[in-house]
Amino acid sequence: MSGRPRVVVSEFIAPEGIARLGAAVELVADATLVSDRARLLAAVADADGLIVRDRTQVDVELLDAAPGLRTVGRLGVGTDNLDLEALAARGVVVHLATGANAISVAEHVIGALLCLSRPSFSSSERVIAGEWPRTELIGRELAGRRLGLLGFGATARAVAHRAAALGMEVVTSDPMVTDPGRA
Amino acid sequence: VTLVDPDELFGASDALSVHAPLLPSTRGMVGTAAIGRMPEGALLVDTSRGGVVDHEAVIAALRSGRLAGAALDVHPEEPVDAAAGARYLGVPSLLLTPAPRRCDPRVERADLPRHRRCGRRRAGRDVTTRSSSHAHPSPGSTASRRPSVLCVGIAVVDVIAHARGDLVPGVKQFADRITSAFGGPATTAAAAAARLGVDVELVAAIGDDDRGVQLRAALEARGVRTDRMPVRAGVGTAASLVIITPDGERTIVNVTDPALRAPLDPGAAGELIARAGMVDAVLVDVRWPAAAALALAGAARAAVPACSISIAPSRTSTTGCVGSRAPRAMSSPRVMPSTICSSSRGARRSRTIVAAALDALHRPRGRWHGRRHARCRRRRLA
Repeated sequence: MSGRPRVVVSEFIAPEGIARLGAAVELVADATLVSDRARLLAAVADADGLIVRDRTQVDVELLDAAPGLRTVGRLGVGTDNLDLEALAARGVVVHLATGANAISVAEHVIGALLCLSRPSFSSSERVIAGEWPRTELIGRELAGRRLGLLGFGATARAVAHRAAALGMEVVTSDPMVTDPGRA
Repeated sequence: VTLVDPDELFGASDALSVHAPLLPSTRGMVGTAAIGRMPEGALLVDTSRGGVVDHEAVIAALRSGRLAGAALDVHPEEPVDAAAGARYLGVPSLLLTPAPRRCDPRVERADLPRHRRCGRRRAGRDVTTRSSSHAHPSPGSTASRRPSVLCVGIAVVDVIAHARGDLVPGVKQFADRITSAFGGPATTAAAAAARLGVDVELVAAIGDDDRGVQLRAALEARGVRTDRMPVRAGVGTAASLVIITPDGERTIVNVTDPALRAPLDPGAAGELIARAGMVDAVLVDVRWPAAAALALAGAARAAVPACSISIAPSRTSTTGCVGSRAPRAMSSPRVMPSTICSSSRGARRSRTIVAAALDALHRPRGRWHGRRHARCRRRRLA
């Protein structure tokens, strides 16, 4: 092992993100590792750090293959793919990017709601075909309708904020939340 | 934003957006029954985690017109291959996306300071430990305000006899003195934290007897807040007879009514979760697992550092109680405590436990080895 810490990135991360790791680390960024378990296990053999998204299973098998692993970065939210107990038992520190994609997901939700309310967003082919399906694609307004958020974490709060701006009424249910506060 | 119960959420939403984590309790949560409760012609958007929404139920509801549209961004099996994708063929008003999101660097920079300002949520949360820079953003901010700690666990009234000789069964024993103290890991930790100048609150159940009144008064006198301590009617406060022999060995005879460890009622549970999200640190004693799990959940939710006091006689375990003795909720990803530590041989080293727990919050590594324990100082009841 060279002097610099060795970091393996096993899933796709935007080049800007990779660039921020800079020259301080010896980097192995290979988005195909996630789908090739054998190569992944070989790649982490002398890794100090591992950066994953939601597909790389960081389990006992992987940890056994990476005796020098000190930290795992998880790009995104949720830890279903991380064996947190095994990580804690080995003293491997886990970093989550909580909230990092909240806005991105919230915009996706709003976009989906608009698309589902406005069937005309998918009418290009029919217009090209000369159908002019004007009346059947009118759709509905989101304003005045009630949006339910199942769960009220960072992403849901970002959705609530945007939905309120569209004139939607927002309700939520989350066993962890007693005061939803202002959107 | 209005908080409603889950039934009302499904029943009253013209559009439902799912943001729940995937846990055993949420798997398949949005299925035929839940969708059946939604108004006719509602919309469904799922960007959470594959498995929370039952896709077969969504397909059926779209075909029947029960749902007017659905956008599924996450799938039980990812990536979806052509064989798995076939089931969605010809389903009306269905948007399928492969979770193509990314964090826009420009947005990220603009967004982070706002997150810091409006709450404890931070990007780059550290699950197993926190660096000192996280725990204390600046020396000035800690100096201006007392740190606050929530302790959750059991409270016991101890009667301690310092025996003159070794115990002999069936023979009258003599003691140099008999004193009273309060015990229970979280309780002694709370008193120790109060002594360190921390704004500390204890949540531990007591009975409606004299012992309970005495215990509460003693805690209050030491600056521990007890407002949220549940008082169980018709139940005796937990108590221990402790006999300490000259060689330092102790023998304990404990009585604890199971009602003291019963789950909190929903109102109190909600308060506990909320409170755990508002303090600087949470310390739980897993002898009251139901309440400990709630406090850890509330702490994890708000990225508040949490520490569980192990009761297992582990020597230098770093996993502590989490996952072994703790209920499922504690070991689920959602409520993983930010800091995991365990005391070795748990019970009576309150001051050391608190000092080490506070210390652990500043450590760069997740591993916390049991410290050499200082001799415990008992606090006599007033």
